[in-house]
Amino acid sequence: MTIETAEIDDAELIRRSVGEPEQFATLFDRYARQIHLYAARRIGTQAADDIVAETFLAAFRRRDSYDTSHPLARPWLYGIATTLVARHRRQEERMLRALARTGVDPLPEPIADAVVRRVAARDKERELAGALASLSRGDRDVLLLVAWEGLTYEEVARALDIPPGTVRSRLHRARKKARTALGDEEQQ
Amino acid sequence: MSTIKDFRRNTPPMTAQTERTARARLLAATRAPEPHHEPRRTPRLGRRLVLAGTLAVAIGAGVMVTNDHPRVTPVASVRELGEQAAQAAYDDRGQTPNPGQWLYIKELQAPQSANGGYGVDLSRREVREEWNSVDGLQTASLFPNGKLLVQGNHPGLSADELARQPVTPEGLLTKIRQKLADMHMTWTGPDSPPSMDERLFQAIYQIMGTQALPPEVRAALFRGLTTIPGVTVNQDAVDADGRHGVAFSYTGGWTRYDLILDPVDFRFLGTYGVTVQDRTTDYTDGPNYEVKAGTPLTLTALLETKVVNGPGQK
Repeated sequence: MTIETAEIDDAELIRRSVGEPEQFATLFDRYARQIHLYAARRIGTQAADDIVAETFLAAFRRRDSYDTSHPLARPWLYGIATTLVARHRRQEERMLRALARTGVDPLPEPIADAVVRRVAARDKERELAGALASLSRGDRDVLLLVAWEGLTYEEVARALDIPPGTVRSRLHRARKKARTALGDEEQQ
Repeated sequence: MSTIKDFRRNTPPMTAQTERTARARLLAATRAPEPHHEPRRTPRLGRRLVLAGTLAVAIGAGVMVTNDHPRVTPVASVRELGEQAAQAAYDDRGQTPNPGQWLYIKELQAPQSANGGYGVDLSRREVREEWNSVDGLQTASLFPNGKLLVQGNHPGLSADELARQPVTPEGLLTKIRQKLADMHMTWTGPDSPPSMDERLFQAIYQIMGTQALPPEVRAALFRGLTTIPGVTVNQDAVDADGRHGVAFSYTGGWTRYDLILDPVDFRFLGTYGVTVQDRTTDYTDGPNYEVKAGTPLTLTALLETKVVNGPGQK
């Protein structure tokens, strides 16, 4: 199956998966790791474990509605994952504020990693955490999808189902807040 | 924006086990019979009324079974049962109960044995009705004279409390364990008190059978059940209505209890409890006698559930 599907783009995979559902698993192999990392970075590993599974289940159930004119499914999957992350919004903000306050990131870690000593965050990180916590959810979604995941404005627009102009204005607002928190040196 | 890029850069990658589990869930979904309804466009984030498997208001209608011959694949392990049931939990279709409302439950059960015999009489059936407050704190039933008896519900955890984010299997078990520990129960008699694992199983059994839970809580409880030591799968359990199902099973001390689920869509069917060892009763107010292993203690089948505005309504 790997050889067969290696050259096929996501849209074609999704099209095929309508008749051959198991083809959809290739999409999981392509993107599950990055989706997990994104979710874990926002709300912790434990919640990310569920979100990665739910993202692909939701995507699978909705595959009929995928717009196959877009060869890459990555923004679509990030959009679903971001909606699921939103369920944990309060938790996300609570943890960011705790980091800002104490310098220790309370992001839940898998048990195996719990023994690893956490290094107290540098001042900048604490300030950044505070700034991230104070952003509206929509602004934070845009900022993190661009800064962490490298999505283009257009991809973010597709992921979140908002106009590209809105992506721009949200990003502008979010960056401004982050810059204020970090001082002028971040400005460029 | 380099600081944002570096922020939490050391987040650990997905473990191989998580990847395997998530992939297996997806594969299970790809192999399941396709529902006929249109795919949902918006994720279902709202809270829905459900009982263990799926919304039971439509009980008997076979809501999830869309093929002529539903595929029943036997589950190989309790872990697999937990995964499949958890996955099915997300497929519920339901309605949203409001705070202050009650869940009306109608079930078929084997009545208490006649003449003071121990356990229940498997040859007879009776209909039992109860109402549980949506906050999980109260349960009500009717006296034969038609009067309503309202009591505290066990373990007294509200669906809201269970649904507080983040909802994880381990987090829910911890919450329930804590609640049980806070009760400071005492046990008398010659038997050793039930272990925390047994009490945990009983509490989940109670919560799943009597409360309206959001899908993610139910899914997490199914997964949580598989992590309790001693919980096994019973491949063929039969409820009070004669329906065959697959069950989460726990044997503790001298009893075994089954939480019976539909083998196809994993909705809650009913419960069964039985003694697994001979035992002498320890009544203080009457003669004691021996209870044989295999004596049925409970047998129920859920027939109907409905959200109502108050206890006694249906």
